Amino acid sequence: MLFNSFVFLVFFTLVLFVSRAIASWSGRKLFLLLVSYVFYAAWNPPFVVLLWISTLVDWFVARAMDRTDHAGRRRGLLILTLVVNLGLLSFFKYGTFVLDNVTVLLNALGIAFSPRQPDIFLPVGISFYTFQTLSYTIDVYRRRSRPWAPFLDYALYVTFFPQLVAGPIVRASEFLPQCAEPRRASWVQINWGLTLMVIGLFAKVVIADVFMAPVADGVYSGAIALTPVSAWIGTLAFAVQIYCDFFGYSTCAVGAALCLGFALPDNFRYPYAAVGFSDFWRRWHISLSTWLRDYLYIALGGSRRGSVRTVVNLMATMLLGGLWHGASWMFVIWGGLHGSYLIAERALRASSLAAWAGWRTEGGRFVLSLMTFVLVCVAWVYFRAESLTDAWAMSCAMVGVVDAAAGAGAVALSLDALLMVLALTLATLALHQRLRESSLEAAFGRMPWPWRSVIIAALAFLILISMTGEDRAFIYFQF
Amino acid sequence: MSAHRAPRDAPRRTLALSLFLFLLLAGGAELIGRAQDLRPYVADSLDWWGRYRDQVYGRRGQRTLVLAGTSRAQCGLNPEVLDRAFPDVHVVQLAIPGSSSQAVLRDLCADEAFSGVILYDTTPFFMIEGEDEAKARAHVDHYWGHGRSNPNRSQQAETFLRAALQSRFVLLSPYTSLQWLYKMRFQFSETAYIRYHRQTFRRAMRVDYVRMAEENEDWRRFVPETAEEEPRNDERALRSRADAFYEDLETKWGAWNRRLTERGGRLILVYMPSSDDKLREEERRYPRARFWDPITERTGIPTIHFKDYPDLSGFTCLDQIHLDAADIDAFTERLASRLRPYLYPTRSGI
Repeated sequence: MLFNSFVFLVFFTLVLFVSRAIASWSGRKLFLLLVSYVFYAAWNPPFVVLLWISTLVDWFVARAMDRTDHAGRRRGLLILTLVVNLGLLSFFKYGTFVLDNVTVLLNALGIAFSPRQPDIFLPVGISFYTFQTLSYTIDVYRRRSRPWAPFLDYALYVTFFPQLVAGPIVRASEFLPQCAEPRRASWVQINWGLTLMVIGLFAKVVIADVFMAPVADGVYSGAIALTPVSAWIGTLAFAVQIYCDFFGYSTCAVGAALCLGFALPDNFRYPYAAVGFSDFWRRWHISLSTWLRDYLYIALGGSRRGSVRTVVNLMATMLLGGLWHGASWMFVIWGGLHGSYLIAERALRASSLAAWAGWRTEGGRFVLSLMTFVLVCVAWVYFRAESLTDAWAMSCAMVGVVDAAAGAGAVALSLDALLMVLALTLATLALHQRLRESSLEAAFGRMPWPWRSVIIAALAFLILISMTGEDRAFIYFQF
Repeated sequence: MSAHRAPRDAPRRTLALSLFLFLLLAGGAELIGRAQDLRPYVADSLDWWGRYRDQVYGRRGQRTLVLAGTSRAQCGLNPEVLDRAFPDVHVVQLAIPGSSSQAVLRDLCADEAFSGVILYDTTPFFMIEGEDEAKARAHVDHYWGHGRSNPNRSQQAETFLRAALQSRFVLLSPYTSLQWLYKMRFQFSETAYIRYHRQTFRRAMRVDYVRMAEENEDWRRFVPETAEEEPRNDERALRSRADAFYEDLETKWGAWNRRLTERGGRLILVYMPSSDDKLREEERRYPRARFWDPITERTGIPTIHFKDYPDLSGFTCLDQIHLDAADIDAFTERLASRLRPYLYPTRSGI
């Protein structure tokens, strides 16, 4: 069930009204759990079983871990949960990828091997809920938290439909305490929750799907002739598209949860105004980057074991972070580029260049954030392109090297599309710069309430008349 | 977290005013669209087609009449009229605009679970040269790949809900969508491209295709294109085309028909009305006596040519290939009387 569908509108309206009508807090949580299973089963009913496996294994493992002080037994239980959760994730998400690569490797070694392609469907949201349940068990293993007593609360934490299929990846410590005391969304929360849903859908349905996706798709599919200008415009269009798409989903998720009385963490904080890459990753897909930091980078030793080990840890974290996005070497390369950026930034910060006072002025900060954005866009090429050949051609075109023979039959990028992408990219950058140290809530809070109503109504109307065109699922669903 | 910083003043008033303004905007846009003579319009899609493909097996043993073929069948046959004419038969519209739909016919004939009657709209031109078969194949492949076994209930529900809403509100037409308005530089306009509610003609479709085609002068594109593409038409070329066609009839069309009839199904080919230059051109390229008339003899497939029946041939196609919206019901009623013997065969009859 997509947030940008009429079915979800009906589903959410019913859930909102019925959940408010249920007086008992346990009854309301049980209702939310059941509708979350319905929400998930609407995609593919049998995959609910995977969700149950993940829920039950981590629930029992965490309780067993808490009952023992025996280090070996605790470690064994941790390994058990890692094997089950990562095993399911690996099978469904990376099974075909591993098999393809093994086949290529064996064939390269002269060993004839041509297995039948397995028919594996990727269960939607598996990367998100796997990381979520793992964070719970690892926190119990590290004795940073205790197992949560009521199973109902824990099951709801894993399954809560607003964040189930594409995040944010919520920590147990953020969600479970909210289940302890009865809560009913106030009018302030409902109003702001619905506002966030409208803003999120506007970003996704209008900006990403109507305006940016056709240009990005046209350039990256080869339908639009590749030139230095079209390569940059296509990549800028994708940069705005993927931001609006994922920011849109996360914002809808936060809004939907808020309407039901639950607060989820923000997943984005104006990333295109980031100054440097460590700042970028503090602003982009925050719930994933903090997860990788806390459970992978720090587990590998972080920056405590010398500069060489720090570089290795950074790169390993970013490569695995790239692979988390999908079973493709393109995502690994994308992760590797970001790893290189972070390593280079770390080296620059330690050099005398960083001491220049000019970087700390408004102008210096702006230049740095622009450079960050450009390099982020260069990395997006490898995220978006279908193959390494396509990505390389795109990268070459961006620096002015275009294969004249390629692109026969493609049309030229129109001036309309060029101006539209430039205008929306500049608007996005300006908005991010403006709100860099602020927030949407603060910006809306400063407005008189009738103006807020006008904006919400206008955005909702634009969403409505954009929903009848072509369907586009959220990009992050595939991860 | 967002919840802690949410604007706190006047939440109920903000919500109420937002809702009021939204309804005002939506209602106003609906009225403006209707004042511009736009009509509700259901966007056809592979999913939507698949929902109807699913219905060819009939409900509780009910016989089915499947309409397949090109836009001529889509625009020229009203399933609701056929439903009334044959109350115990379930009529399913599977015609695909812009495609000769041979892939659909092949698929239905090969589907062992299907044993209904197919009314397939075609001409020798479509049988020999075909038209955008890739489009028909995409429909069939989508159905078998996703539609038939698709466990995604929300997607199925969305397809229905969207069609139900689009069939009622102009505002939800693809021609009032932001994508379309942006493309058309914010001018209201419809094109003659045909998409519609497959089954409930009156609800949304009633595509006055010809009116739109006339207004947009889209029909002009048919005549010059075909004139330029016309192949050699001397006796030798005709004979060679006819020989290839006969072979095709026996190996392909006859085989499809045999598979269907062996399990109790029936295939009927119908030549839907065309007129003026287009009809003359069709006759010139594929003279009826050589191409259409031998079909039954060589394959056993019954045919209905609109020109054989005075009550079917009295219609003029304003764009030369599609019936006027005003004539659709009358034409369908008259065709229904020709179909009756195939749907209710008697011992002595067909």
